[in-house]
Amino acid sequence: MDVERTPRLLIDAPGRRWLLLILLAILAAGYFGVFAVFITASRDFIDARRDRAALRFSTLHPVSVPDRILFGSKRREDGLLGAGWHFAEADGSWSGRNGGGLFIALRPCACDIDLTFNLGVFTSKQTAENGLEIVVNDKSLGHIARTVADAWNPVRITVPESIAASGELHIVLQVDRAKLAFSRRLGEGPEDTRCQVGRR
Amino acid sequence: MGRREWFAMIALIFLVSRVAILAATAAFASHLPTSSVQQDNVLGLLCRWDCGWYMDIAQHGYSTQENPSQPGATNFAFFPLYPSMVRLATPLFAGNVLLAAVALSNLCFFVALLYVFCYVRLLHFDHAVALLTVALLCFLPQTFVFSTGMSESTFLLLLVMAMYYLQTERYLVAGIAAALLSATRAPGIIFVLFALTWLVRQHGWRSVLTPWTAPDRLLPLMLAPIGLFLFWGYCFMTTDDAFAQSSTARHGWEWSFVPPWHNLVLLLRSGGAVTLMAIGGIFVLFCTVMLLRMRLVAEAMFCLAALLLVISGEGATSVFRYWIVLFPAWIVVARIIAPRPLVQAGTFLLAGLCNGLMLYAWTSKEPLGF
Repeated sequence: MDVERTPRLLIDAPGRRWLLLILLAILAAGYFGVFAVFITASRDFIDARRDRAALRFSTLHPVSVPDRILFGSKRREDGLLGAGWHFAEADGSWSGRNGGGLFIALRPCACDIDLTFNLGVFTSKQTAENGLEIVVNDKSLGHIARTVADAWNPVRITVPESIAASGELHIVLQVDRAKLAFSRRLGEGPEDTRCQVGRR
Repeated sequence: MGRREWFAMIALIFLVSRVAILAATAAFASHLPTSSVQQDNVLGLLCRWDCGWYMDIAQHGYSTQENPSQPGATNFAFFPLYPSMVRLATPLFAGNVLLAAVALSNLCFFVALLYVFCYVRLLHFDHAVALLTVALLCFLPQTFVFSTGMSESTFLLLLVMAMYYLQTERYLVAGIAAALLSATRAPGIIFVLFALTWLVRQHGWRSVLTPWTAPDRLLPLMLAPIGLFLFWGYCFMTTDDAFAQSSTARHGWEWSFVPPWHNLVLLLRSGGAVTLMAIGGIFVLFCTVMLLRMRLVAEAMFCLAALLLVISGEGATSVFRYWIVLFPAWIVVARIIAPRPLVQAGTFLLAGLCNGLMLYAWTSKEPLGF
């Protein structure tokens, strides 16, 4: 005996079929619309929280130039580090991501500010060259190429008065190539990780 | 074999496997030197690793509070359906949240086994293959996670339900199960791929390109993402980050995308348990290819996509419990071993040994890779 397979939920009435189609179309449009909102309005909540905490810490602990800030485990200054950093270790703080940020609040100063970073940019046999871009308050202040030979050389930049006058510096250190884990290490070197801040 | 007989067989396999797991867990615990392990009661022994996170969500809800010993790790890394069910069930167990979780997991697992049996029969395999698939799910390495406070059993149940009701063309039920599935674990959304492949193979591309002819067929496909979107919406409202789940997984568990072929090599080279996990992954890949040979294309697509998703995560060491929920892969194994009693015995012996080793690691809280 042949038994014809009958779909259980096939909607025969044309009116209902079109109504269902319209509802599904609305649902599909809703997915796209909501996803677009999520993509554009979302920000990594842990990064955001760390940035907020670092900003708060920096405003409570303003820096008088010249000054030297040391990072490392159990150092109070680690509070200045925002998003993008791993655990602070004894000899510094490091990051395996493309960008690591720190916040520095300065006492008012109508001058250019010199920043010197004692840091290392990850290089290896496979990644013989890497680049480091320093962005302060969303403005790029330079891109530095690094090789195995000079990966640990200090990095110096000048923050112009137009930016420094705001009194708050949000510095983001961005490397060109972040490979697999530990693609770069900032702050692990012969000396403690340092950020020197000086008046020009 | 009548309905009662196969129901009894499945119940027996389920009970034997769970009693064996409980007995082995208790035996391991009594011989372990760690005082913290010995202080645990039997229920406590069934709650390790991610279970704690699920219990936290069930008891206190979601929180952005980071784990002090694991910076960046929050309970947003875990999908909401299972802990929500536990929360709802807790009053039925005198407020014992862990008891509710374990009972719920076992119940879901048992019902899932019934559906798996029906699903295998639906694919026109005989009773022996169907029962062997059920038995494999009960005895495979890390099968004990189906009886612990984790979401694998709920995921398995919803996955097999969604597939079963789609195959039997009960589209609305399949869609609801799929929507719940995407709120259970991240790979749940891959059901969309299964539904699309099934639709195209069953009704041709025209059914997708001319949806007005039978829009009800699209219901499972369209309803599947609802669970995920609701979770994203909740995350967005509470943290301003719709993708809080992946954010906290990235920070707290160092999850990052790595091309699967690259990661597989890394896992194979890692040595120890991680290498075994990678070999297990390759075996599941082999089963996926066999699914294609058996013309179970939709099932193969689902397994392949789930495999790729797991292997794309750097540091994915707990992959085995992700793979055991891919039950279509075990249909392949069941079909291969069904006519060979000796191979069956060998398979279950090997699975039992691996399971014992992994259960020991679980009980002793040793990082064997869960």
